[in-house]
Formats: sequence, structure tokens, C-alpha cells
Amino acid sequence: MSYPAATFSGMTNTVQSLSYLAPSALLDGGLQLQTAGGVAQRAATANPRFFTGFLTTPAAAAAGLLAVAEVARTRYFQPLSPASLDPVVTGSRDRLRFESFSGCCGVYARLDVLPAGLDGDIVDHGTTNVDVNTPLRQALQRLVGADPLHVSVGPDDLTVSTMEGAVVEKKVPLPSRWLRGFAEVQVIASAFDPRAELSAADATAFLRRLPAGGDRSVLWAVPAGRSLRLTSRPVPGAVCLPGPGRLAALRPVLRFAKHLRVYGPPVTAGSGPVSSTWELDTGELRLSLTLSPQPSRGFSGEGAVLAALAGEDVTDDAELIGTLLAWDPTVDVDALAEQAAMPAARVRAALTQLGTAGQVGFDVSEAAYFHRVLPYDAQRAERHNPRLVGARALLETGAVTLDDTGATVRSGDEVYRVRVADGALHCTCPWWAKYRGGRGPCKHALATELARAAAPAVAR
Amino acid sequence: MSLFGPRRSGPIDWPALQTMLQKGNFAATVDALRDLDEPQRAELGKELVALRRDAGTWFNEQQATAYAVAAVGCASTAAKAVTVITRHGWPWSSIRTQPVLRAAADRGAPWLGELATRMADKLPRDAGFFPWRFTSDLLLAAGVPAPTGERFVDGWLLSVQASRRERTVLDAMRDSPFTDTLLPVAFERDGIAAAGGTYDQATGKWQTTPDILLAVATLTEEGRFPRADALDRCLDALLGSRPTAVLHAFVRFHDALAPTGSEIAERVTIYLKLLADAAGSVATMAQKVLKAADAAGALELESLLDASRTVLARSEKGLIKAQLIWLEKLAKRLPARAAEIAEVVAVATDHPDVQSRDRAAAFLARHGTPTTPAGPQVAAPVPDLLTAAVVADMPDPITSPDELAEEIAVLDQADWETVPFERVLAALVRMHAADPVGLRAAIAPVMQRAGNRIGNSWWAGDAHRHAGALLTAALNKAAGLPFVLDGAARLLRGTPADVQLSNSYAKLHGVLMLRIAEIVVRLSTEPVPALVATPTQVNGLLDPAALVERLARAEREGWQPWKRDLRQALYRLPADVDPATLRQARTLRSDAGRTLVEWLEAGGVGTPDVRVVRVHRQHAERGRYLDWLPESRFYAASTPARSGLDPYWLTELTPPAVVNADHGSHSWAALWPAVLPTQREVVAACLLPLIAGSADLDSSRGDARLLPLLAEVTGPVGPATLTAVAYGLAASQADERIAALDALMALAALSPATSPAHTSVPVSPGVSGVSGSPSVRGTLTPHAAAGASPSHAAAGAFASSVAPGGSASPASPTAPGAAVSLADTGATDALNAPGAAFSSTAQGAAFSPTALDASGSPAAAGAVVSLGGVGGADGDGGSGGFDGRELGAQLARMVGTKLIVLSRAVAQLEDAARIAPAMTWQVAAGALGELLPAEHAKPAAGPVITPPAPAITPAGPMTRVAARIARAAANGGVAGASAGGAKEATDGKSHVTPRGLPDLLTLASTAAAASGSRGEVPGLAELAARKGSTRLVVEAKRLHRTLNPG
Repeated sequence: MSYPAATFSGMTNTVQSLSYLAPSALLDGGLQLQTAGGVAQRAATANPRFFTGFLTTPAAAAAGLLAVAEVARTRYFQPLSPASLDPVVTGSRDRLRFESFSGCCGVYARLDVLPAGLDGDIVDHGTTNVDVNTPLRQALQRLVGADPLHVSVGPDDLTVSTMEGAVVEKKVPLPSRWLRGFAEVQVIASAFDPRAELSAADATAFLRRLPAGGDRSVLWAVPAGRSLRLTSRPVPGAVCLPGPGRLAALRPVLRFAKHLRVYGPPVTAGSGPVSSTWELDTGELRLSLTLSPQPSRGFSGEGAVLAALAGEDVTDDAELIGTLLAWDPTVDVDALAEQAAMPAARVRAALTQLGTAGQVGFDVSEAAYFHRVLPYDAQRAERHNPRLVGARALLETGAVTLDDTGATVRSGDEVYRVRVADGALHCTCPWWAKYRGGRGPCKHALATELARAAAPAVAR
Repeated sequence: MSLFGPRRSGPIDWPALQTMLQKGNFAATVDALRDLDEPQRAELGKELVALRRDAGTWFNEQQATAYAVAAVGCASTAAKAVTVITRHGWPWSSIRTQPVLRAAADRGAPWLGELATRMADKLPRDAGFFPWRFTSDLLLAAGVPAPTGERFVDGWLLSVQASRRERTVLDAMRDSPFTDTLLPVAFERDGIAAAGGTYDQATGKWQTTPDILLAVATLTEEGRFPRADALDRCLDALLGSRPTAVLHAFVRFHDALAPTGSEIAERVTIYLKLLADAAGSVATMAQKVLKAADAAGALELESLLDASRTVLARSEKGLIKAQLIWLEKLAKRLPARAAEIAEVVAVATDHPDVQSRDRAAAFLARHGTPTTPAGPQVAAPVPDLLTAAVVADMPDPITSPDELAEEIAVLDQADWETVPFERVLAALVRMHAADPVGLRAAIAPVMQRAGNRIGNSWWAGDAHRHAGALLTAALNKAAGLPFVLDGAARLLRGTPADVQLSNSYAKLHGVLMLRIAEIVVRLSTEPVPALVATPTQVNGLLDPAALVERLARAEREGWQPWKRDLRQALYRLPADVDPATLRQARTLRSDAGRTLVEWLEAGGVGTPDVRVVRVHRQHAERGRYLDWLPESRFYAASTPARSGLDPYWLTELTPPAVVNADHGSHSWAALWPAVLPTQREVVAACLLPLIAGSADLDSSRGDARLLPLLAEVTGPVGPATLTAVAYGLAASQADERIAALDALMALAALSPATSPAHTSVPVSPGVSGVSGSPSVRGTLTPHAAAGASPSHAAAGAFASSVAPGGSASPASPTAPGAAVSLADTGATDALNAPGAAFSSTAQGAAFSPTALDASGSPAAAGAVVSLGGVGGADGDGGSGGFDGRELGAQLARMVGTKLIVLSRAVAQLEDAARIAPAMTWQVAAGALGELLPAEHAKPAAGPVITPPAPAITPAGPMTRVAARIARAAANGGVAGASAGGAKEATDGKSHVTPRGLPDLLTLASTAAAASGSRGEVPGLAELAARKGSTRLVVEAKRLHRTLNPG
């Protein structure tokens, strides 16, 4: 796989350089979104072109696009990395998806422009960066009116022919934790179920009652009547709402929405904080925000993919499944299983593996994976996950001693005990004690898993 | 190479240069480099670039400057020079510019401009002014255009505010060489809205102004910045999702620009967008501007109506009101279009805010459109959706030493909770008896890592530290590590004052400490195979049958349960025990068995009498700052039941003489409820000071998050619990208020009092009658006369008292009664040993609640005013269930005395109304019953105020209190020593309506309508009959209508 317009230097902090043929702009001729980098199916190009046609609900689409761009510009928690990246757009068979990640890695935003929201031709399929600049944001903010708005994603012929030389160069640092976050979020979201659906009026009232901006508390929301009620402790059926101020990006789109839907993993009375997805649906568009379990936690450190990465056996499956993905709006696991002649469970494992490379995303409202290829080397970033690197180092130094009930891991002067409980590996290290599996395995558990995977082979 | 040595003859070599750099000798470095040729510089440069920075090295100003000089003098390219500079001190050490420029000039380096531009890219976020100044000096010296990156712009915005004493921001911006280049970009940065503060002598307040933006407005006026540009950028900023403070600043900027009619006319679509979409304050500004434009005829009706549709669906009541008034005027002006306008206004008829609905309906009525009465009046009553807290059984015990090791590691990391704590204690004792070697091997590594952190944090109070140290000692002992036996042994020997609890409310903490101390001491000397106090439910309750079985096992196996462990087990037994279990217990023959039977037959602790009293802050002494403490606070007092057994005297609680604040971590407090899980009121009394802190202390978070635990333990719901919930509902942090709401719902679910059947409340015959006392249901009559009414237990238990003010008080405000010690009479095993632990030894400054009780009425001479009634909890056989009206009444009392903010609690109750309208109506009615009569209280008569009860000659400590009060009064210190209500009545000050009272009335209407409740509220009819259209009266009328339909 090649990354035409992206160059990398250094290991942890790569710099991505993007060449747009022109700045994106909202002009008399409509909205022109410029692209750079990434992958297109039909033509290998540095500036892919996916769509030309009309947005049926321009004001709502503009508000949604601004929300996605706003998340990309925002750091909801102490800034650690100076990432300010352009959103990513995926053109699949019948829809456009704009995705972004906040600078703190704690919020993932996606705007899906559904078939009803588009009136035009999908020219090509693929994923690329889309330029969002200040004048464009200001123009989108000023956009009024309900008449369909012409939009082109990718350079039109005119741009290509006349804008030669007027290239917009953007260089942005591409921290690996940001990329890891992108890979983690779909694995986490794939465990979500729908928890509540609110009407627009109830959603407005609910969001208005939330604590203001900087509040970093972890709250829970339980369905009560037609709306949601905030509570301080998890109960079955509740959705976690960590750092409620982070939902602010939904507000501009709220007045266009028909429903607010909320998704989250199953929880019990003793659950720790978990992620959740908050999705506004206007009928033509869906804007969703996925929140990390705590404002201080970025998705990058969640470690949900680590188990998948530690096992090498699914890599071959993943390669096979990867070739079968065809930019469908949703991935049909059963159909893939039939095509690839492998059980559905293995297909799902392969999809998870593909997710770690950013090759699939997860759409909670369709409860399905969708095909996209992040225009960055996300897989590389995941392979350099600090915990995984640490685990491999432990294994190489022979720190892991396996026994019947688990393993003893010696790391420097410290001794950790890893034990098997309920099919999972538990550890006595402070990190495990703090999150208790809520943030993936610790490096001792990972090392043990690697050792256990290697052990039978040695025995044989 | 000595400092005073001979001048060097040859060119400087690398080691010599390095020494200069390390010494920070920048002037010498400039000199040394001056005459070098390029190859010599290149050679030094190679070494310099290769130099790594050791982690942990810090550079002072001189060193950083020296390195920068060397970088400019030796590096071969700008990029390499940047590497050297950023590696050695940049940006946190400020670098002097002159030597660096000098070195650059000496060398004639052509890339100074590039260097400066690259440094501008490297500017850190939040680094402050100095690195920016160095960069800008380089830029100006090199004469290159200013970079417009956001970091450089941010630094520039900081720089124009620097040294504000010497020159104004405006002057700084006039003079800055960057203004023309950077100002257009700066509108994108939030830093442009930075506020400067000035002290206003007249008002004595700090005024903040957006200095930079106001300076920009002046520059615009002067023609330095294009006016149209300034206005457009301002509007762009207002459209964007910027922080509220930034938006406020831009609104002021907009006002300062004062756009003309034609400028506005050109931008009408943007203002309409602002009106529809922008933040509240911005929309209000746009509304004003557009109204003016409309008056000038620059606004088309169609576009205004389009925007109005969105505006009328917004949540800001003020904005909607103004919009409706505007549309009303329009409809009058353009009668032909009135129907069109009315169609838009109809949008607001199903607005969540009832006032907006009313206004819209009134509009439609005036303009001839038939309206369908919207709102909840037509809806069928909604039943309350309350679910009681589900108390789960304890999870299975820990099975392996490895699991125990993991759980200990968790204690080190997670919040303190009963379940993991009890499981660890149980497993520790059990495994130490069964397999000490395996246990030691498993937990030693964890204990080595944890050190002494477990249960201990640097911000913890002393009591918490002691408990943490005891637990660490117990675990270290089991782990075979060095441990401290001393503290535990002394504690068990029972020398008084060995364990200092900060106050009597920490008694439950003392029980935990004794139990851990017992483990430390007896773990190896008298090992037992199991603890007997481990609860069977997560709230701390212990199934009596399980305890009987545990004691039977001890008899079979021939061991004695530990004494403190057994005591804790007894405190955890529920009040009701079935006869079969009691029969089973009577078959036990051991001492422990007999103790159990004795306990069960006596009915355990019994029902103590708990009441709340209001305690005041000590008057400030010289040199002592006490203003951070609340002016007064409710504490709970508890008197043990006469018949009950209470070896630790846990149910005897004495309020402090003056308000104190127990600071530090309360992490262990989460374990307290499970120490005494059958006595909700006593637990609430102990937690009350911590919970109050979340509402009445600005500086610290309290612990209202513990409130849901109160709903999980058992026992009557009384004044202490209700006061705790009331404080929690008004907590300053949102998550704590939400926890309070959780507790409220769970408590309400316990009680039959809030079921719909009870919502139609019989009205007291004495409403606004007898002695003018406000009364709801005739049970709340807040003065001594209520003793005669058939009140239930809780009603009488709210007492308010006043602590002595004045500096005469000998007690320290932070440690009155601090010497509460627990002495355990080690020699005596009887449960009710005379010198048993936890009796309060520091009653000197405190008055005794027992005395209050004995006197028949909580009153005293002088300034002590009774707001509460009388009656012991034992008296009327009250159900002990939750009473929403009682909670409301207590909320109202706390609002009336300004202890809490009403509007916070109302916002929380609005949430409650959606789920449990009937319960919410009860609470609101209770509060209104207290608050509304005060609205009629003209200086002449204060019906809410109880006339001071006849002076009783109090006994014991009361005498001292009364005497001090009298002294304080004589000294003129009476102002602080009168209850809030009394103050209004006695000194004739005008009454101030609490903020949030109209909202409370609205809430009451909503809740009453939703639940189909009827009834009367004292003072409501009079208020509703008033003339005028203030919000208070309008809302009173609405509630009156709701309660008396037709």
C-alpha cells in the first residue's frame, strides 16, 4: 500500500505533508472540498475525487462539517500533542463519511452524509484528507438558505487545469498516539448497543441541562421516560457520559436533528467508566461523537486492539478479507464469510485486525463495519504501541515464567503475578489495579499472552 | 584558563568553548568566537551540534544565552543552530538577545532571518512572553517579514499586554512593528479577547475589560485597521464556537465599533444567523441590532419570520420573551401579515418553558388564531418512576493468595469501598491462618511496591493517615515485611488519647481502626480461621443466621472470635431477627454466643434520637481568618436510645460549639455507612459535615457523592438524612448534585408517603391561622406549639440553635472537641463497660443535645431561637419513611438562613419532576410552605418566626452556653448570633425574596400538574391575589390555578 502525498520521518512523531491543489472554498459555484493523500480505487492520484453533485440539506451539512472540523481543532484535555489535522473523508458506494479526532485523542467525530443527503454522482471510492481552512469555516458559518448546494469532493477539472502551481502545502505533525486512537475507536465501538433514542425536543432539553464546558466528571445517563436522566453511578442499561462538556460540538447541529441516539457497551453496577457514542440524526445526515471513558484518557491508550495485535495468527485472514472489502457502505460479515470460505467468527477477528490498520471503521447506527483506508500508516503506529513493545522486550529478556495458574513476570527488581481468571489475564501491577481490564491488558499480561502463544509451539 | 588569566593567544578549542558554555560565560564566548574563520567555526559547530543534553539538566539565563551565542557563531545552517538553541534551555530560560545578535554580526551569518522564522515555529504553547521576545528581536534584527503562525501571534498578543503599568495596550499596539501583519490573523486566536483587570475605587470591585479588542476598536476608529474588515471579523468570531468569555469580549468589541445602519443593513443575514444559532448573549446582541434595523426598514419580514421559527425553539427564556414582544409589535404594525406571524408564534406553544408557552398562547389569543391549550394540564397524571436501591449480596470471598495480592494492589489505586476492603480483610485473616507461607509469597511483592501508600494520601487528615498506617502494618505483617506494631498495640491496650479523631463525627472511623489494629496485634498471636463481621450484603448488613453459623463454627472448632470483630458484627445486625434465628442463637454456649443473644434480645442499638441544630461560626479573632468557613451550618446531634446496647457509644453525637471544617481526604468515609448499616440517621449525622462542605465551602469539594450510600443502608429517614440530601442538592459541583438526586429518588422509593395516593393532602385546619404559623398539613408548625399536633417523629427534630458568637469563646474553630478519643477498656469484656470507647470527652465548649431534650424544648435564653419543634423519635411511632414535605421544609429553612443556594436545588428538582412528579410536588410544597409566608412578612409581624420560647433554666453545659450568649449580646455581638429569620423580624429589615423562588413555583406547578396533585400551600392564595405582573406573582397565580382548577 502506498501513501502518495504523505512522507514520514522519525518513529514516534511523523510529519505529514499534504499538497492540496487549491484551498477548499465555498464560492458562488458551490462548496469545493479539496483533497490530498489517501487512496482511491479507480485512479492512483495524489488528489482523489469522490463526489460531485448537490447537498440536499446544505445548512445542516455545513453545521455538521464544521462540527467535525471543530473536534479536529479542539483539545478537550491538557494538550500533549500539537495535532491539528484535517478531517478524513471516505467515499463509499452511496455515502460520504467525514471523520476527525480531537487533539487530545478523547473525542472521535464522524459526519455521515447519507444517500438522502446527496444528489449527484459518486465518482470514485476511497479515503483522503480534506482541506478545511479558516476562510472555508467562516464561509460555512455564514451559510444560510435551504436550496441544494453544489458540492465537489476532490479537485474538479477546472481546478486541475487552472490551479497549477497554486498548491496549498500543509505540514502537520502526525503523532502516533493520534493514529492509534483512530485504530482503537472502532474496536471499542463494535461492542456498543443502542441504549436510548430521544426526540429532538427531549435531546435539546437534555443537552441543555448538562454541566457546563470544563466539567471533567464522569456521569451516567439512564433512560427515564422519554428522555435520559443523569445519575452518579452505573446501573444496567446506563450509558457513560464522561466529561459531558465534550458533547458541545453537537449543539450547532441539534436544531436540524430529528433524533438523538445513544450507544454504549453493556454495564453493571460495578462498572468503571466506559466509552459511549452520541449520534444526531437529521434523516439526511448523522453526526456522531464517541467519547473516551474519561476526559483524561485518549483512545490511543485504551489498548482494546492489543490482544488482537499480540496474536499473529489472524494476520493472514486479515489480508484475505482486506482484499475482499469493496467500499460498501457497510460490511456484511456473512457475505464475506461465504466469499472467503471461513467462519464468521474468524471474519470478525480479521476485521478487528484490519481495524488496527485503520482499514475499517465501525458504524454504530448500522451496527456494521465499513471499509475505509486511513491515509496514514496506522498499522505501523499500532505495532509500535508502547505496551506491546514493552511486552515483547519482557519476553525477549526471559522475564516470563509460565505455570499452571498463570505466570510470574520479573521486570527489573519487581515481581508481578499474572493469573487467569474468567478467561482473562489479571495482574498485580498498579496499572492493572487502576483500570482492571477497562483499558486493555497491561504489558505483563500481554507478555504472558505472547509467551503462552509461543509455548505450545516449543513443546511440539 | 583562569578567569583572570592571560588572554588566550590562539583560536579557542572545543573543550575550552564547552567550559565557557557550561559556566554561562556568554560575553567571553562572543569574544572568543569573534575572530574565527569559517572552517574553525565549522569544526566547533560539529561538536556543538553533536552535544546531547543530559536528562535533568537545567540551564540558567547565562548558560542558555551562551549556547545561543555559540549556535549562531558556529552552526553551519540555521536548522542546526535552532537544534542547538532548543536543546539548551529554550524556551524556559530566557535568552539575552544582544550577545546573540553581536555574535551573528561578527560572523555575518546570512541565515539569521531563517533562524528567526524557524524559532517562531518552535515557540511552545503557553510558554509566556520571553521566548517570544527573543524570537521577535531576531526577526526585527534580520528584517524579515513576521511569521503568521498561531504560536507567534499568541506571543505577540501577550507582548502587547506586557508591562501594562508603563504603557497602555493601545500604545503598545500603535508602536508594535507587527500590528499590521498580525492583527488580521489574531482575530482567530482566543488570546485577542484577553481581559485586563482594573480596580474600581468607587465600587470597590475589579472590572475586567477586553483591553486588546478595545484597543483594536480605537485603531479602527483612527483608520489604522479597515473598519469593514474589523466588523466582518468580529461577526465571524461571534458565529464561531469560541469560549463564552471570548464571545463576551467580542460582543463588547462589537458595541465599541458601533456599526452604522448601513453597515448593519449589508450584514442582515449574518445577524439573523447570529440570532438563530449563536450563544445566548450574542443572540441577544443580534436581536437588539436587528430590532433597530427593522425600525429603520432594513429587514424583510420573511427572513425575520424564518429566523423567528428557530429563535422561538431556543432555550433562553429572555430571548424568546423579547422576540415575542417584537413580533407582537410587528403584528400590530402590519395587521395584514398578523396571520403569518401568528403561524410562526405557534411554534412556541409547545416550548418546554411554561412562560414561553403562555406568552405564545396569549399572542395567538390576541390575534385570533384558535389555540389548543398545550401543556401538561391535559395530560393524564404520570406515576412516579421510582426504584429503590437494590442491595446486592457480597460477592464470593477471595479464593487464592494471588487474587488477594491483586485486590491489595487495587486498594492502592482505586477509590475506597466497603466490598473490596472487607473482602481483603476477610481473606487476609483466613489465609494467614491456613497458609501463611503461600500468603507471604503472594503479597510481599505488592506490598513492597505499595510502600505505605495504601489508605493514605498526602492530603489526608490525621485520622485517615492513622487508619492507613494500621492497614499497612497488618498487610506488611502478613507479607513478612517490617511493620509497626506500636500504634496498634497501644490502641488495643486502650490508653486514652491514643487515637485522635478530629471530632465526634469520626466515631465510625474509629471502629474501623480498632478492627484493623486488632488484626495487626492478633494475626499471629491469636490467629482465628475467619472473621465474623464480614457483611453478607454490600451495604454492610450481616445476616443474623450467618453470624450464628459463624459463632457455632467457632464453638465446634474451639476458637474465640476476636472481640472488636465481634462488636462490629453485632453493629451490623438488622433490627428485626426472626424467631428461628434467635432460637438457634440461644443454643450457643460460648461467651461470644451469649453476647450475641444479649444483643438480639435488647434489640441492638435501638432507635436513637437524632435532631439537627444550627451552629454558627466563631467570630473572627485578631490575626485569624475565618471567612472561608460558612457563617453557620447544620449539624446533627444524637442521643442513644435508653434501651439499646451501644458499647462504643456510636449513637451519642455532639455538635461542635462553632462551625469547623474537617479538611483533607475523606476517602475512608465511604466505608463508614457499612460500619453501622442499620442506623441511617446516625450515619447521615456523621457524614453531614462532609456533605455540607460541598454546598457551603467555596474552596474544597465536599463529599456529597457519598449520599447514595445513605439510601442503601437501613433505618428511619429523619432530619439528619434530609438535611444531608438538602445540602447535596445545593452542592456547587454538578456531579455531587446529581448524586444527591440519586439519593433523593432512592430514599423516596422507600417510602409510602410519596405514592400518588398521598398526593392529595388534607389541609391543616390551622393554615395561616393559629399564631400565624406557616403550616403544611399541620405537621410542620415550626415552633413549640406543634408539640401538640399529631406530628410524626421527624417533624419535631429540626432544631436550630445558635452558638456563641464573639471572640470570648475559648474554643478553637478548627478543633472544638478535638480530643475525642477512643479508649477501649481492654480489661473489661462487657459490652457496656462503664468507660467504653468513643464517649465524647470534650463537652466543654459544646452544648449537649441531651440537655436540649431534657429541657423539653430546644430553646434557651437570649438569642437561641427555636425553629424546630419538639418530640423525640421514640415518641409518636413515626413510620420513619421519607417525607418529601419535610425535605422541602428543611431546604426552605436552609435557604431562608442563606446556608444554601435555592436555584441550584431547584434545577436538580426540575430533573426529579420529570421522573417523579408526585414526590417532587411534595418537596416543592414543603419548601413553599416555609418560604411563601415570609413573602408576606412585613416588618410588623413575622409569622415565620417563632417567638422565643420562655426561658428555661438549662442544666449543665447549657448554662455556660446561655451565659456566653448573654455576654456576647451585652458586648454588642448579637448581630451574628441571631437566626436569619429572627433578624428580619427583629431589626425590621425588608425581606429579600430568595433567588429561584419563582422557579420553585413554576416547578411546583409542573410537578403538581403532572402528578394530578391538589392541595393548598400556606401563603399561596395571598400571593396569587396580589396585583402586578412580577414573575413571582405570575407563577404564584399559575400554581394557584393548577391546584384549584375550575
